[in-house]
Amino acid sequence: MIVEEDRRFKHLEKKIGLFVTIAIVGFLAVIFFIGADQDLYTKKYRLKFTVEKGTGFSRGMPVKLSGFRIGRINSISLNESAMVDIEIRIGRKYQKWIKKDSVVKLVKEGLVGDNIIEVSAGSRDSDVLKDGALITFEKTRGLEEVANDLADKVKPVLIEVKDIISYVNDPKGDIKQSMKNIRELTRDLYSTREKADALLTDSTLKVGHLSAETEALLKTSRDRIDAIGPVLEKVDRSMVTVEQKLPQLLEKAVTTMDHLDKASQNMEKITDKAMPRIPVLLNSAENTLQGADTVMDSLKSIWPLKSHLPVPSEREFVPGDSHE
Amino acid sequence: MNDACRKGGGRGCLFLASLLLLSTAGCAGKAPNTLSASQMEAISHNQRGIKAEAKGESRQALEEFSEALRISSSIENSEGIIVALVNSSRVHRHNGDAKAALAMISRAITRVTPQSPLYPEVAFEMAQVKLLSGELGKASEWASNAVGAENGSKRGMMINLLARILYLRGNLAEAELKARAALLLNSENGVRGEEANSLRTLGDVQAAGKHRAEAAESYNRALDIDKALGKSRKIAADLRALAVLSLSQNDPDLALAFYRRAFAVSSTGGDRSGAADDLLKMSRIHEKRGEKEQSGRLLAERETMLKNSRTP
Repeated sequence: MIVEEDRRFKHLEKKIGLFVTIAIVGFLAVIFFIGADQDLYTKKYRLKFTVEKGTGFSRGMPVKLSGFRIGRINSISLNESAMVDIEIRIGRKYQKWIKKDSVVKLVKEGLVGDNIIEVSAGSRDSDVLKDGALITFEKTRGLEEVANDLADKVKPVLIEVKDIISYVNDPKGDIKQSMKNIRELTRDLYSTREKADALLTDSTLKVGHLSAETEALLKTSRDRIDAIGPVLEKVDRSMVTVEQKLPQLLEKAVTTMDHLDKASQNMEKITDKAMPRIPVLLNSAENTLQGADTVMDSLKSIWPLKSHLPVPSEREFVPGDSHE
Repeated sequence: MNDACRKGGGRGCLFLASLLLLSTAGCAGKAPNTLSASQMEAISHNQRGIKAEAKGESRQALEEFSEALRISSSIENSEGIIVALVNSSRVHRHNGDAKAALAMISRAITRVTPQSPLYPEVAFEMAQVKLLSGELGKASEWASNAVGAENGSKRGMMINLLARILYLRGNLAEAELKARAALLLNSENGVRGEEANSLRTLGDVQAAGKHRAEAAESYNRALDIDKALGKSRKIAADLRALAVLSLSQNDPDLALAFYRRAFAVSSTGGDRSGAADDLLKMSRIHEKRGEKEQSGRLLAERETMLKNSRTP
């Protein structure tokens, strides 16, 4: 008989038993947690809805309420109307929020996330949906549909952009021609600027000459102004004489004006008296002239005067002259 | 009358009867041609126009002739229309407006036939207008037409014009012949002004033919007549002709003397343009003689005169 002398083999049965026990407990714990994750230990109830197409749905797909998972798709099946019946299993504890006016939607979690079923909470006054009840499915537009819609909208814009680019790129188009003109204008502007620079340089030189001439002119003007001094003195002396004589002259002028005023007043009186008689006198004079004319005509026709008067002739010319 | 016969007897009655006979004798004469009131009015305007032109009031004259033309046109009086047109043309020509003159006389020409008594005057006027325009050929034609149609006292004047045109065209021989014929005719008819014109043309022809002595005699005879008639412009023209003749005889002093006389006559007679021309001619003579100062003084005097004549 072999005597076990190694101390490591002491209580071996107990150690194996403990190890196995721990392993079994660990295994059972894993199973428990997996079951708990799979909602195996919670009470559930079922809800149903029907969709036209099963695309995007899959068994086990999470069902979420306000972002929290509350259940999963339990089954997907094709019904007699060639539509798809979907059954979801939801935790019983969430039943109080899912009511008759609640709806389910197939949505994506984020832009590139997985598809999920989203359940909306019902209104406070509505009744709670019971096990096996039908819940309303609300169709949402998928990314593809949104993209197509967007594409439909963007397409005309792109066509227009293309047209605009073609129009802009057209070598004979207005834009290109304008650009060409602007280029030419710019080139001309460069030459204009060169000319302007030359002109400015020239002007600067001329201004220099001009300022020199102006200086000379100012000097001459100064000399002339100096020369005016004596003349002004003479004028001053003359003004003194004028000042002495002016009052007398003004007095005489006033007297003359008085006389003129009186004369004009007299004239006015005379005119006032004569004016009404002038038309009468004119009429009278005209009548007298007409009378004289008549008398003259009569005299002209009386013998022997008529034989001595020249007969008026139509053939009277301005005298001619061969050496005019 | 019966009482007179009874008191004075037979001799008194005879005297009264003679008086009555004499006083009514004129009534039996031929009634003069009567003109309508419109014609009389047109004639009156025409006469006023002629008087205005004689006084140098050409604007007034044109207005009168225009009115005469309007009245004559309103009664379709061709004779009156032609007379008004000829007179208007003459006034325009005197003002130097050849275009307006031609417009008037061209209208007159279309209304007159060569048989009309008015034709010579119209043709004569047309010749003058053409001469003013420098169309010597046409002027010569119209002057010949006028001469051919006129047989009255104006024939000498028309031949004179033809002679002058011929001289200007360089046809000296023909011009001399016509001038001599005109001289004879004007002398016979006593048309003194035209007689002087004939002599002046004759002088021009003789001067051009280097017959200077004869030319001087012709000019002097013309000068005498013009002086007798008191025609200032014609006197100045005769003096200028004598000045030109003196220059051709290399006698600038005599030429200057004639020009001075012409200048004096023109400036006092109101012909400022003619006087200014005389000053220019004198200035040139002085310049040729190297007398710059005198030449310049005369030119300055001329400038002043022209400036004054331009000032209204």
